[in-house]
Amino acid sequence: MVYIPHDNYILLVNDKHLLFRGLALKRFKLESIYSLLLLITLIISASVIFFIAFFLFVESIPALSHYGLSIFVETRWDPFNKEFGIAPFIISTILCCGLAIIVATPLGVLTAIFITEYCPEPFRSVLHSLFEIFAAFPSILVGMWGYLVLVPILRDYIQPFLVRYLGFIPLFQGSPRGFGVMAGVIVLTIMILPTLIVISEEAIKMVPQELKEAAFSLGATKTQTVFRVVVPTAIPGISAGILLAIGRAIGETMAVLMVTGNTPKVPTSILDTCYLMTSLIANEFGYAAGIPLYRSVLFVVAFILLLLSLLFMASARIIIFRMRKKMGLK
Amino acid sequence: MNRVIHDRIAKIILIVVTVITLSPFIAIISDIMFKGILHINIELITEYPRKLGLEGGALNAIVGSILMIALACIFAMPISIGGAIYLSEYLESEKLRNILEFMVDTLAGVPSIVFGAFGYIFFAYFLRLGACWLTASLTLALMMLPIMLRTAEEALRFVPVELKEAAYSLGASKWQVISNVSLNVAAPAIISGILLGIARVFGETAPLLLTTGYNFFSPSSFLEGIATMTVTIFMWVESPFPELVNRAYALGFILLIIVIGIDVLANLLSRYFARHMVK
Amino acid sequence: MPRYKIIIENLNVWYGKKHVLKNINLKIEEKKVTCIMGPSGCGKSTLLRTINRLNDLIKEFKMSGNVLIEGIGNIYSDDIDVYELRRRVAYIYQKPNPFPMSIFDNVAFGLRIHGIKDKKFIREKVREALEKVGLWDEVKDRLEISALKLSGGQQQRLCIARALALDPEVLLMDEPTAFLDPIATEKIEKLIVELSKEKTIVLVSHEIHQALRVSDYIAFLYLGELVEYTKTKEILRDPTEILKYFL
Repeated sequence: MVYIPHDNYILLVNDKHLLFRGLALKRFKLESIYSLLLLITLIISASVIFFIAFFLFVESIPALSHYGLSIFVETRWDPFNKEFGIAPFIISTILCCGLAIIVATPLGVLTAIFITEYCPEPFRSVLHSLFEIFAAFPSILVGMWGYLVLVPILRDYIQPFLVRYLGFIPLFQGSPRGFGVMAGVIVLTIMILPTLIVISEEAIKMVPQELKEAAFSLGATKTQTVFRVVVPTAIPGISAGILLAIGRAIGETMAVLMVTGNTPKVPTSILDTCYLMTSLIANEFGYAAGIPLYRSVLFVVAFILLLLSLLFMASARIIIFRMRKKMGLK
Repeated sequence: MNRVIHDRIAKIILIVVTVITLSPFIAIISDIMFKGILHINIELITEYPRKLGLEGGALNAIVGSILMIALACIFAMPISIGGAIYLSEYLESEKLRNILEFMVDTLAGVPSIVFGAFGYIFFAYFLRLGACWLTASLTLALMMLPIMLRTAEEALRFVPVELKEAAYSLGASKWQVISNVSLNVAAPAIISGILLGIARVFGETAPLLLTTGYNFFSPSSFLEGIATMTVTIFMWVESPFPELVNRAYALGFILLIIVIGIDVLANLLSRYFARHMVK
Repeated sequence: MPRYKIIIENLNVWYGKKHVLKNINLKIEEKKVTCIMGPSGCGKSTLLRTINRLNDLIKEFKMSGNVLIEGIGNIYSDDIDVYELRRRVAYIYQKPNPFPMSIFDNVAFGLRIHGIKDKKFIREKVREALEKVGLWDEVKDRLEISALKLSGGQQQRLCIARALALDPEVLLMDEPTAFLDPIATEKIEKLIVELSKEKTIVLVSHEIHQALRVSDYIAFLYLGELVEYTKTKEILRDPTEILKYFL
């Protein structure tokens, strides 16, 4: 027993408590070590994006300083003769992704509308789960199917048909090879549809029931309610989904790699072969690895890819952020 | 009357559109399933390839994919879970948390081929590891990071405050509360996040093309090349040999089952968690 | 001279800009039940949480003044082991909050986190604690089942057992019977009186009748100030104005 005097009161310390002591200092020290370690892991996680941007940029510098911005507009790609025009790739990517999103958006949004608003129950969950599963499809398998099944069908049946009946339109001119823009667009559409559908479904589901009831109570039909009330309300969410889908399309590699033919020229018809930025890197990185300038040009392309996909992802996020703010206030 | 017909027509159009949307997926799955099952045999999964894959099996690829993902998880899990713990349990400022979350989220938008390019330049070149199993796994770990971290963070946020307070009131230290209470309660959701991360990278090919060499056997060291199912399928499909194409279908079928299986498992687990915890 | 377990001197507490407790001076006698009462939001829980430094968990918490506990000293001084403090000054919540673990693990939790590894010791302590709260006979055959399967009253007694396993000297109880039915309430009130033979208990309660049944002293808080502090026996003899508010 120890007596600690304190003013008028006597405080006693009992040695029974020694049973639990001794832990004290150890725990304080451990605490600070743990929090430091955890902080380090967080810093690592958050800084990866900067590392990526940094290294990509640094590797691009040799090509940019050597050739300047002309590589962005030059259309001749002949690496072994030092011709590094990357315009064909940029244009191919924009063309294929642009067409893919134009095709995918109506298909995806309407499907999402069907699933959430019109589809009766047992099928609804089935369809929803199906598309969630499709969203996880490995792109190599889509590419494989594209290469072995789609391309021959295009080459042997669909494209000859198009050339014959629509060949007067420049867009459909050329010889049917199967490989090319058309195959690329189809494959890209397949890759981005599931995510687009799932996100659009979410956006539509978030529309409050009261809005629909208000429309019904005024005598609107189902179709009118859906297309005049629900969909317009869901537009921010759907737009975010579209932006994300574009971002994904731009970054898609394996599926398009196997079906676009990969000839470095600017495509002028959907029957033309084309060469996307992602395919370029996937195909030629091996050769270029040992040749500094060549490799550097590929990093320029990679850096552009990074910027483009981040741009679309960021725009999607901004829309979602604004949406959340609006709903938070309601 | 007019409007009722209008409604019906609209519904029909929507059904047609949905069928059109579904058809390519059904087509792909059936194609892979039929041709895959047709050409599957036991030696595909039990033997190493001989004669560049014309004979034997694809054991190197199957084992390789598993080894690669396993090593990637070993890197990704501590970093993502650690970061999640700090974000949800230690970080005070709301603003800072939003910024950090954003920085992690952007990672999810980076194209896989860009990860490959980075993986090459950073791990293979800068860190002098060369193109090998280790480089590929590190690269994949970076790809898994955002999903795992955000899912774990959400899971930890959902731990009821009363439980944490109860532990504090008994004299537990912060770390004890986290390890004995928070992590326990959040475990199922964290695991589903890990599975989602695995599902994300199991079917990846592009980054692997740039970060690792091939291997007709299983690697005996981390610095050796490694085969994966995805890269092997790619090789075989592009080859001029029809037998290899058939094998690619069989291997592709196995890959599909695995990826879908993991994804379904992850979704089931997160749904179980949602139901179980919101009690 | 009465022995005091807790001495609170000039205690002021702020949550951010809000001045929640104003100049509290209170001496709590050892091995007695002191009941803190007052209208909602007047700082009762805050006062309680200050005594075992649970308020440290709240970002905007600021305090001035002294809180002295016999056997420990000034609990806000820098060399105090907070975890040890909380072991010796236990806190029971209004709403029972057992961990989603077995009954045994719940009671053993405190022992384990304080570093006790001896399995035999832990088992004895668990049994002792459960016996003290009167749960042992009810659960001794199903210690492995999840604590969440117990009734509300049992869960609250489990939470008390969980704290008792650590041999605390002080029990801080924040309206422990608020969520319980009358029978469970009665059991807990009996437990409180029993425990007060060895431990100092500070109880927050909304019900004057509970205070009259159970406590030796009653302290009244109103808008963050201590306005009345009397022996319970004297209240019945000579009710003050404030008490009439309750009676």
